[in-house]
Amino acid sequence: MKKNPYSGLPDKQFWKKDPGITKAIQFDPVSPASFKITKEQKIVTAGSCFAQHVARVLTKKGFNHHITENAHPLIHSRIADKNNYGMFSARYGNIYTTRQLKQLLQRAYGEFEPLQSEWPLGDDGTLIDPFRPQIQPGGFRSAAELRTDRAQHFTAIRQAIEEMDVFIFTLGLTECWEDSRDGAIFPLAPGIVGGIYDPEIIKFKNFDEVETYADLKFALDFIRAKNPDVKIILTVSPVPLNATMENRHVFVSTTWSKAVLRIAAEKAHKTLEDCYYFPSYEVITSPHMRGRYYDDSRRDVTQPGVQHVMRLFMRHICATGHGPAAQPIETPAHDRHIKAMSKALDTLCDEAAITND
Amino acid sequence: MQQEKRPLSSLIYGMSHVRALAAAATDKELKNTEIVTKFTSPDKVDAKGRLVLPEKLTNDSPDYLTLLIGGNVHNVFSLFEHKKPYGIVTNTTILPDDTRHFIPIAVMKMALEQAMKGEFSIGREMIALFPKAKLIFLCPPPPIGTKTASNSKLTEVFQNIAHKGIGLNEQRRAIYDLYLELFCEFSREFSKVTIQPPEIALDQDRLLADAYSYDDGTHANAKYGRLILDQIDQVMNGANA
Repeated sequence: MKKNPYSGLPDKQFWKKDPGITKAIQFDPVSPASFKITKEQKIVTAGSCFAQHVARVLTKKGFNHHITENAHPLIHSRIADKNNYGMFSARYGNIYTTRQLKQLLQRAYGEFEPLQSEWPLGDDGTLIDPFRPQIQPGGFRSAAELRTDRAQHFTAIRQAIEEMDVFIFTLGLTECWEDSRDGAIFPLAPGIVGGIYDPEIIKFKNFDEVETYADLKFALDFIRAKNPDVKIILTVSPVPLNATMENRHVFVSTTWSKAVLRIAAEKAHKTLEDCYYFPSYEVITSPHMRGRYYDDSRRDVTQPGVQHVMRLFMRHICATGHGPAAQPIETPAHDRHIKAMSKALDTLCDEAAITND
Repeated sequence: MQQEKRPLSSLIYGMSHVRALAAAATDKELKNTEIVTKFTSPDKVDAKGRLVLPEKLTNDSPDYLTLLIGGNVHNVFSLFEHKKPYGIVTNTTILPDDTRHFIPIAVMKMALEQAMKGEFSIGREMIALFPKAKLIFLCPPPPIGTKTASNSKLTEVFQNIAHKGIGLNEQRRAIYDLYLELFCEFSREFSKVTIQPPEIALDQDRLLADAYSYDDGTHANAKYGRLILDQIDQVMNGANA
């Protein structure tokens, strides 16, 4: 008979017994997952900026980061990077709130068309997409151009959703900006990198745990309706808020937001089948690390922090050593067409002998 | 007693497109105008074929320096359809359809800018070589019209690239316009004088009309060169009047 209810429980459930107390590198709060990711499986990533780290490392390790919105091969990889091709599976940029994820899916499938479809970037007529305002540094020349890019983008999203085997979503924020007329959520307030801030229309919104979970559940159910077998991995971004609209210290807002996100992720994990919570937030923020996984800004996560998270991710979630690495898609860094054209034109220029005929 | 004006001297430098001007120049013009390309005057350019060697020129301190640089960059991107055809949207043209991969203008402009980097570097170095010279920038001829292009020796030279045929006219012109934008942004740093292709030399698609095209699919002929030399002359004599 047990001496008390805790008797015989595993060491991981006791703070004092965690090896990470003396050796931070051994800190491992990850629970077993009901599935493993193989290198053949198509992985789609989305979420806040921390999700970018996950995507990058998975690609580097030979996993199949399924990118459905690539730059055209003519575009050099450096330029593609600058324009956020390949950062996530499609060019949606950071998705901070679960409402944003929900609306992105609805928009991609034609179920929601927000009133605001473009914002001015400056005075020269250049436009940006309100729903991914920093996706393209030069903006778009016209509404027609933006609409065309968006149509291609939505096609890529639908393809990613329907083809993926694993969906990794990092929950980032609860604060955002809403068009009060139709509820459209913007990742950045108008006026920051484009658009015009009209306080009569644009309202600050800070989603609580009920709203955040409801939106997350909606989004994941939506995805499962399109792709029933998809495995889901949720994480919470350990990156604190950059700013808060709440009248309180930004760190107090950070703890509130992260608590909301954590609750929503946990509820989804407990409610949905094959929906796993991976504790990257805990790894980075735990007292075992004594804040070492934040850089001098006390906000950005350091490389050793990312490495610690991804080492655990590989160990617990990835079936490493099984199956071949994903075949890289045609790299746009040195397009054959450009090389061949340049060479042929040089030849032509050498041969041409224009005369006054 | 009225003093006779000294004729102005000029150095015209560029790559292959400059040869249309060389072909058009009269002996009289060539007395005061030196036209240099690495193809026609290899002895007057450095070993890499980038810069003029001033000491090899007839006049190492010309009154005017006329530059035509990077004139085929637009052709590299658009003369032939890529094996994965792309489309762009301009103010007048919407090309993408389901068969074309859309490239935003801002992205394409960055790609062209990168391709022009070396050319702009040559331009800056040339300008530094002739600090006293007034500057004229020459836009290259626009893409050649379809008729000439399809009847030229293009397919012979480009047989490994031309599988999908010549690029759409609107698209070739749009990429050229984007090139011009970059070229003019560069030239504005140094000079107010940028000579655009004469309207008379354009066809209905604003491509280089057949009458002004050389038969290799990318260059203009001497008739076009004549138009440009006349424009250069107007700029120089206007300033000298």
